Amino acid sequence: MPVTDEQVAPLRALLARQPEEHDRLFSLLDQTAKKTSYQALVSAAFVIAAQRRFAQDVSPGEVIEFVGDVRSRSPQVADQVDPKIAERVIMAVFTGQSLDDIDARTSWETQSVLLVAIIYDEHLDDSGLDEFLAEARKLADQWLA
Amino acid sequence: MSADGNAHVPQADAPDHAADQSQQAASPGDAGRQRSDVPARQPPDTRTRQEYADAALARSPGRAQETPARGALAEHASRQAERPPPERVPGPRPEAGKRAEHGAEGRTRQEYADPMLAGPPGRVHETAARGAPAGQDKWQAEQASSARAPGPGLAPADARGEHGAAPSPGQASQHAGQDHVSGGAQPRTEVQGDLAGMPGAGRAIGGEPHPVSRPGAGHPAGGHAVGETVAHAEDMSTSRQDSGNRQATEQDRGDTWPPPQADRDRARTLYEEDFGAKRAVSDAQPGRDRGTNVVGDKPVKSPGDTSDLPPTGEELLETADEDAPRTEKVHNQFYKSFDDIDDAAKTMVTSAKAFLDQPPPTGHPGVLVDTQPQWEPESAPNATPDAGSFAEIALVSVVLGDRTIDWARHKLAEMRGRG
Repeated sequence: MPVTDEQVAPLRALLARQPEEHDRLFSLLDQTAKKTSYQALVSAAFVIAAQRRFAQDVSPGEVIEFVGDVRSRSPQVADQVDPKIAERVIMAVFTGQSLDDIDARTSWETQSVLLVAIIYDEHLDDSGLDEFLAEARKLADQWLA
Repeated sequence: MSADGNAHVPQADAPDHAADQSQQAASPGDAGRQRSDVPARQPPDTRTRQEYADAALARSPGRAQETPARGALAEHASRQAERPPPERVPGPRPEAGKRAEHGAEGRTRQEYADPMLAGPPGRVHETAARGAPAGQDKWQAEQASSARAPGPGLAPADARGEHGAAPSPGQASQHAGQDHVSGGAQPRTEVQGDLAGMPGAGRAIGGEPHPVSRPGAGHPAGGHAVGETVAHAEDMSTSRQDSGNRQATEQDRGDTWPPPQADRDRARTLYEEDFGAKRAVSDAQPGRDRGTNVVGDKPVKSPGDTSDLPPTGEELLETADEDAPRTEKVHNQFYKSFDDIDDAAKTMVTSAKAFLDQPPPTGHPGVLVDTQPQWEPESAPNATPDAGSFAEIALVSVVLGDRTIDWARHKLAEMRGRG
């Protein structure tokens, strides 16, 4: 089941700093699309964003510094993001470390928060955002194939 | 040990030139041995050289086997002592007396060498053989056998059996003079024929045992080098010969000399194949095909070594397979479906709103700090004087006036004192 444009639109609105638009578009998706395509799309977008943000030989110190910076931006984010899980999720992109001991929802929420932080820091324009989402969509399609 | 070392023998105290000549006539090795055997305080005029030699031989029973050669040398030495001193000839002297004894003193060195150099290589040996008597041949055979002994690839039994018999004086001379290039096997004879054609080799082989060119006369290292060369040539040539052919050639060499022209031509051909220009050309061109390396070229590489080639299709497929599980692993790590996606999405949106409400800190504004001291700008020359400047001027004026008045009073007091 490939990722459709309707499933990409809510994520694009959120990364374009339009959270209300995200809520509206997200509510238009059926529950199956949310559980499969949208979840896969967000996870794929996080993997692509992490690979853009960090080098392949990233050190744990860089990951720790980034997670601390993200959590320091808001008390709500600091409460929502477990630093150890966030660091493991980022390092797993490069090391393939297992995340089986982490709850699926917790992992997904952490990935989504880190995804928004990375993309907001990059200040992508429309074309850059479309390019990024196209790459994430391609990876999600591979996962869902 | 050189012949000059004999001058330090205790007998050198006596001004006897004949004795010196006789010592030079002996070989260097013999001279050294004689010097070690002679008592240090024995007066030279009380005993003749013959008596001295007999006593020395009697004291050393281990030398009994060398008696024939020693006896000849001692007899020769005694005759030299009785003879008036001959005219000195520049150059090494150990063989001068020997040549005089054999009747060759009437010929100069050049006269002796001319027929050798003029004739073909094979004639050199013949000339030397006919001109050398049996006594010299024995001495040369002994010296040559002693030089051949340490050489590689030559059995002592073979050396003794071949040269010790000395069937005829001519053959003995040939064997002794050619010993540094000859051996017991047939291929050595082939190489010998070519080397004999060289001028230097002809001089050394022709029966004039030069101390430097003769391998056995106090230069064992030279004997080794020549022995190794002969052994190498023997190995190279022997690989091309079967055993039956070798035996036949050995028998021919023992019976007839010089060898037939056909054998000499064949030996020359084999030598050129092994060491000549043909060998050099054949090594340079098809060397890599035969698995040999050419100096300066890239070493021959194994056909299975593909380290410097791009990866094959199979290797690319293997690399692709290595990447595929990684993608699958990433998929399994990050994408795990769960039910309450709506609540999770709300958490994501809440965090995004938090990022938007509180933008990330940009840090403190930069403050430029001078790394060098700054001079305070001077006031303009036409600046208006302030109250402080007037007070400063007044204070300086008061101090200067007070000091001037004091100086004037002091001068007036001095003038009144003088008056």
